[in-house]
Amino acid sequence: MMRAPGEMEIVRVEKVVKETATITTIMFSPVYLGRWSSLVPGQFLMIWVPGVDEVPMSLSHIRKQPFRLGITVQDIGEATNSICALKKGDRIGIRGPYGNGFTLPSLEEVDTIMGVSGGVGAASTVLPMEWAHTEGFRTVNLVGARDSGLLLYRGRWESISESVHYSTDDGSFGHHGFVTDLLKNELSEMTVEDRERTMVLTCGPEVMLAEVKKVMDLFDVPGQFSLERFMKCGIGLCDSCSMSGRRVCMDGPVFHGSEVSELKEFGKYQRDRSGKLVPLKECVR
Amino acid sequence: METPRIDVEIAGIRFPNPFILASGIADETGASMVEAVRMGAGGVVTKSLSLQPREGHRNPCIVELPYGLLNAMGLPNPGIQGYAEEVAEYFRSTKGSNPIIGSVFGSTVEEYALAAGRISDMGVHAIELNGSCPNAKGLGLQFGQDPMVIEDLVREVKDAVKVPVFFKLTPACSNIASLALAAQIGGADGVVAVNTMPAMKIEVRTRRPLLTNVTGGLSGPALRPIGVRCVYEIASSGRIRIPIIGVGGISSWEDALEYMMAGASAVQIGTAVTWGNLAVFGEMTEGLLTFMKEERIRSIQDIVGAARGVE
Repeated sequence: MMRAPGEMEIVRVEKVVKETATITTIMFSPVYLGRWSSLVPGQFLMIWVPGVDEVPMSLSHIRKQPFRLGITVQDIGEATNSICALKKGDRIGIRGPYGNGFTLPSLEEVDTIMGVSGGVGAASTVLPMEWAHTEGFRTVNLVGARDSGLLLYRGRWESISESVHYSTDDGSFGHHGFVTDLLKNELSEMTVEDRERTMVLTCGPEVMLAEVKKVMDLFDVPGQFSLERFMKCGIGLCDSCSMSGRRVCMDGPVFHGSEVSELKEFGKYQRDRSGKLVPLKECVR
Repeated sequence: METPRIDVEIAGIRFPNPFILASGIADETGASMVEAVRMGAGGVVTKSLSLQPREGHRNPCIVELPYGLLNAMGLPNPGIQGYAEEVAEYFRSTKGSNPIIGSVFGSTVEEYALAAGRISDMGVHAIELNGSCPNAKGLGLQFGQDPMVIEDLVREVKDAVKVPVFFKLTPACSNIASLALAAQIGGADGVVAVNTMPAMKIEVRTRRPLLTNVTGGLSGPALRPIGVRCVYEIASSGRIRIPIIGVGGISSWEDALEYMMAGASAVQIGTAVTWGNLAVFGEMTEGLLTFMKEERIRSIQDIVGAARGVE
C-alpha cells in the first residue's frame, strides 16, 4: 500500500567526528520525528549536500534523548568528499529512512548473532549488532579493514560483544589476513548444535561478502547481507540499483542469504550510471 | 456469472489485463520487467532509450511531495544496443506472454527513427515515442508541443518499423486533442496520455531549486485529474480514431476506471509502483474483477468511454 512520502528535511550538522584519516561521522537532529519512530537498524538515508550531490548512507548512530542521527562516511569521491568536509552548522538535506533494515530472529531459535564487518561496512552492522546485544543475544563481532587506521568503532564493539576479533590486510592490527579467515575459525570451533543457533549479519566490500557467503554456505549458517549498488532515487523508481530484478533501495539493502543466492549479479556485476551491466569494482561509486 | 473479461486489444496487440508498467519506472533491466509481469502487469514499457548511452542528471533527481513526485532523471539509459540483453532476458523469461513496448527518444527525427528501428529489431511488440519528457534539454518535449513536428516524427518512425507506434503526449499544451490528431495523421496506432507535467521545487532554507536540473516532471496523485481531463478531451474531440492509453497518477482500480471511462483503452502505472510496490498490479486486477462482477459488466471494453456523452 502507499506509504507516507518522504519529503526532504533540512538539518544542520551538529557534530563532526574524524574516525580515521579518511572516515568521518556526521551527526544531526531531525525536527520531524514521526518518520523516525519506526527506524530499523540497517535502513539508509539519502543525504543531500546542496550544490554537490545526494547519496545513500546507512545510519550508523541513533541517540534517543535528545534524538540524534549519525552517518559514517569514507571519502572515496566527490560526494563523500563533500560530506567529510562538512563543518558544524552546515546545512544538509535528509530524506528517509529507506529500505528494509536487518531483522533479528527469535531468541528461541537463535542465541548467537555474529557480526562480520569489512571496512566502512561497519557503519551498517554496528547498529544491528548493538540491537542484538540489547535484545539479549550472545554477540560475536569480527571486524576487518585494510589497515589499523581504517578499523572503526573499537569502543562500541568492545562494549557490546562477548568476543570481538580484528583483522587487517596488512597485519597492522589483529589477525594478518581477511575477516573471512576469522569467520572460518569461529564457525569451525563451534559445535554443530551451536552453529544451528547462529546467525550472521554482514556488510563490507562485495568481494568480501561473496567470500562470507561461501563460508556461510559451507557451514550451513544463515545470515543477512547489506548490499550496495549505484543508487539515484532511493525509492524504487529509477531502477538504477537493480540486481536480478530486485531493487536494492526497496527490496533491500538487506537480503537474506537465501535471497542472495538468487541474485545472479552478486559478487560479479554491477550497473553503471547509464544502467549498463559492468564487472563489479571494489567500490560502487 | 462467469469471470468478466479484462483482456484488451490495442492496435492488434493483446494484453491479458489493461494495467501496463509505465516507462521509466523499475524497468532498467529485463529481470525487473519480468518481475512486474510476475506481479500482474499486463505488459511493460521499457525505460526510454536513445542511440547513445546517457548517464542522466546528477542527484537530487527526485523530490517526494505530499501530493506527487517530481523527477528529473535526465533519461539515463545504456543506449539501445546496451539494452539488447535486457529485452532478450524479458523474452527468455516471459516467452512474450505479456507485450513489451519499446520507448525511444532522440534529438532529431532521424535519431528517433533509427532508435525505433533498432528496438523493433529486438522483437518488441510496439514502439512508444517519448515526445514529451520535460527533463532533458533538446530531447523529447521540444518535439511534443508542435503538431507539425509530431506528424513528421510519427511518419518517419512509421516508415522505419513494422510494429505499431504510439506517441506519448505532454499535458503541457493548450490543446491536447490537436496534438493527438497530429499523431493520428502521421500514422500513429495510438496515443499515450499523459507524460509528467513540468514543475519545480525550491528549497527555501538553502534558497535553491532542489533538483539539480532545476525543473522536473510532476507525477502521482496531483497529475491524475489533469491526465483524466486530457484523455477525456482527446476522446471527446470526435476526431481521434486511434486508441488512447491513459497514464498519470493511477494507483488503484478506481483511478484506472476514471481514465477508461474518459476514453482510455488501457492504462499505465508508474509512481504507484514506487510509492507502493509491484503488488499494485495484482491488487488492481482483483479490485477491478470484483467491481465488474458487482456491476455485472462482462467485458472491460464495455467500460471504455462510459463517462462520455452523459454530461
